[in-house]
Amino acid sequence: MHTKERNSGSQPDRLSCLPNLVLIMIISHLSFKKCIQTSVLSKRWRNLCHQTKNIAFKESEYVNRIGCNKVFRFQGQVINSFEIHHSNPVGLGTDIEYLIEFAISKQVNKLVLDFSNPAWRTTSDVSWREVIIDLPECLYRQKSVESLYIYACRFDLLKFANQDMLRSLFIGWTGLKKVECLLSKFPLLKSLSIKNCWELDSMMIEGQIKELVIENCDFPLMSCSFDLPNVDIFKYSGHMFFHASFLLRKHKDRPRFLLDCRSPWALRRER
Amino acid sequence: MSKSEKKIVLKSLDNEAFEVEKAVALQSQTIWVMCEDKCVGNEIPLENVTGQILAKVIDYCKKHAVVDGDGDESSEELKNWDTEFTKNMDQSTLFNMILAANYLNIKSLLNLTCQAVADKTKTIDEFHTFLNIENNFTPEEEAQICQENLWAFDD
Repeated sequence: MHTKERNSGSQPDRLSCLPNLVLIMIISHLSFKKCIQTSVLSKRWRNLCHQTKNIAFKESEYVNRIGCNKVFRFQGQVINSFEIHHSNPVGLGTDIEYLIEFAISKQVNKLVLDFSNPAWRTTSDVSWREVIIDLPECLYRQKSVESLYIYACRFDLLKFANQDMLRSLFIGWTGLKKVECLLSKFPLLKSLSIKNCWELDSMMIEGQIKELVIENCDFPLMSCSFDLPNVDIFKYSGHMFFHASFLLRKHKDRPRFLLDCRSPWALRRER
Repeated sequence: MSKSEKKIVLKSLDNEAFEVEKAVALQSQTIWVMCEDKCVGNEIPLENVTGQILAKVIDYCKKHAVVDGDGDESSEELKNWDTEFTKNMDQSTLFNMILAANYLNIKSLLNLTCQAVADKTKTIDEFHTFLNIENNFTPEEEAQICQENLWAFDD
């Protein structure tokens, strides 16, 4: 009979036979900060962190400027997810553009660009002067991103090249026009979320998406129509439109349909 | 194809035999290659995996074979099952599961178990202990590395 070793996890001989690829998989699941910390574990781990698949620059985790030098030493071929969170990006435009270009050159799958301020509660807390980061040109032409989060960035929806990789799009804290062209640009989009946006003009959303979330947006024209035959989840909160038309045909199950309208007259209309 | 050809026997390091559906076993790229090569009979010896671990790997493959067949692999239910699957694994089991998933080349299981290690080790010290890494840096070298990435070490 074999006598099996049952010492708890302490099998350095077996760990050493794990290829670096597996160790990189493990550290890719750590937070970016912890991932960088693994560089002091041992000589074998010294440079593994430079191949992590997930990179996140969070303002809460670093105090100095976003450092391009950290990315320069990145040695991997591809990145799964790349995140930048910074509530006061004054003077960081060039660094941020560089980082986004870097992420796209690594065929990033999930890209989070969040320059919103946690102190903002509603659109009235934000002045357009505080939204200063422009999306770089390369983002309009990229072909790898499946999930895109853009908060407090300036961009022009019309400039996006048509592409069929994008599945989820989250937009927040920005002036947003021509929403209706979105679904023709991204024909395979499954999920669309628009939160705390302003300047929205009359919005007609027609398409095959499964999930639509609109929260606390300003509609100067107060008119809106949705024709979404395949929608599973539709969430709306904020002021009710003057003219709203909903066409939410759905096969077997009813969509999860949530309406939360703030203005009193809208509530009356609902009853 | 006769009934027996649809089944396959996996034999662990400690000679425990498991009869499973071929579709279940073939989620392992390693077993797939072995079957393609026809260099093995109906019984496949897995020299790096104990019976205790192999039983768990088979549980995972059974669950994922059924659901993949329905074409609904990213369903909530499956995700919850995955979470439960690794939630109460002790360090030793989890570590052996990673080795097994790597050896058997089951990508989704490898990813799941790597994720579980990251989730279970809240601090870098726990991570250090969990993987039982021997630090072969001199204190000077360690200080130098911390200096290079100061922001990550300033707790």
